[in-house]
Amino acid sequence: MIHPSNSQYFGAGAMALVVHGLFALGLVFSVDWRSLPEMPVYADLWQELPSMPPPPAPEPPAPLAPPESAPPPPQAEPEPEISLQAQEAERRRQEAEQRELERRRLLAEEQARREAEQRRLEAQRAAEAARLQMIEDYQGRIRSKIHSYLVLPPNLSGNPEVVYQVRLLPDGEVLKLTLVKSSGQPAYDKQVERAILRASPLPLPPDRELAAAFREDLILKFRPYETDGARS
Amino acid sequence: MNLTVDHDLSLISLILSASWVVQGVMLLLVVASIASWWVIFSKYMILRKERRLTERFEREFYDAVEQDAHEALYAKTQERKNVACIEELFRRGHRAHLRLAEAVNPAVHEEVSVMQVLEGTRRAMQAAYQRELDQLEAHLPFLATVGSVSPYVGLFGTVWGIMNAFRGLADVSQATLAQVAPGIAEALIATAIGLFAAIPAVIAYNRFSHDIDRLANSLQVFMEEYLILVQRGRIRQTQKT
Repeated sequence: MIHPSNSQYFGAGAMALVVHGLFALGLVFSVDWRSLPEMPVYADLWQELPSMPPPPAPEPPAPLAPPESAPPPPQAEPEPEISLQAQEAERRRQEAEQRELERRRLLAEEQARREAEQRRLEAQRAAEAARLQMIEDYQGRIRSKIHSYLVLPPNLSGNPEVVYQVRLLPDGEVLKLTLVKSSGQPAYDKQVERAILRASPLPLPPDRELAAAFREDLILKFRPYETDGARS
Repeated sequence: MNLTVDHDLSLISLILSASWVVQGVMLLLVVASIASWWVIFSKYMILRKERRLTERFEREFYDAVEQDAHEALYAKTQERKNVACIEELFRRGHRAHLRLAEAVNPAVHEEVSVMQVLEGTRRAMQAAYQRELDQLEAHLPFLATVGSVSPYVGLFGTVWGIMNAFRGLADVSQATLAQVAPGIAEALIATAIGLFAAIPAVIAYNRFSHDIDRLANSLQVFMEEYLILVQRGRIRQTQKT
């Protein structure tokens, strides 16, 4: 029989290793069994267009340059000076009157604007207050809903705080739940997690923006013996 | 409940997080796979060269017989170092033939007949044939073993891994698929490696045993033809009278 030389013998071994190396590389790089959580696709249905800031009013056409009063009406006959003077006086008087009117109008406008501003601020403040009120309200609702499902583990010691970060779907269902800070008692953590999942869907405020804020980043803090809860 | 759990299911992390029994099974299978590929490559190279040299020698031999130059061929094969089976067979047979022919030189031992020369030559060639075939078939049983056993070994690793995965469920009250899936996935890798080792081994085993059968056939044919030539007196000791 042909006996392989040493180089052939080890060459075959090297080829075997190369085959396995290639196969392993192929597996590692081409096949990836990582399962990433699929981001849900959701659509918002709108009954009507949202209130958009009104389009800026069209610029008033730039005031045309006042007709050049350069060519004074050629006054043919040198009318008596007096009538000219009287006309002059009359014109001045009218101008002064006009200025006075203008000033009054500006004042009135200023006044109106200030009042409008005042009203807007007040409305804003009221809206802000309503918003805060609503946040508080829904935080309370979420908290109480979760609390209603919470079963405290029997061997709980102290009053540890556990912090969860929750992402919600638009209908309030829990999409993702991550433990931000453990209470140090896994049993309690687990119970809180279970309560959050069972409380799903969580109540969300009807206001779209507010609900989005709630959904994106809802941090839930839980202590067993106080109802100090949600912060969005 | 719409909770998604993202597990890192990449191959390496699965293998690294397996239990030590499963890891041991995987290691064993990888070693077996590498060894079987080693055998496959070296066997393939040997058999290819063997076939080529066999064909070459057959041509040389028949040319020599035509020209009545088998002594020269014998001298040439004696000089070669790494010879094919068929050449080795010829060397052994011819040497035995020469010795016996000398021994049965009618002038010396009249009672030894041509049949006995033939018989002695055949025995020598048969012995060489068995030895060569034995060498050709070396390591083939290893391929057969890898091919038939490694799926079972992989299956053992898988069963063990799945047992562990389910035992982990005993501690939790709320069982989800996500809790067993990584364990089952990592366990199934053992079966995959077992199959990866087994399939090439089985294919190569079948291929090689077929090749060796053909080589053995051509050796047998050569042996018979040589003996016929001896019987017909075409090949004889020409130096001695």
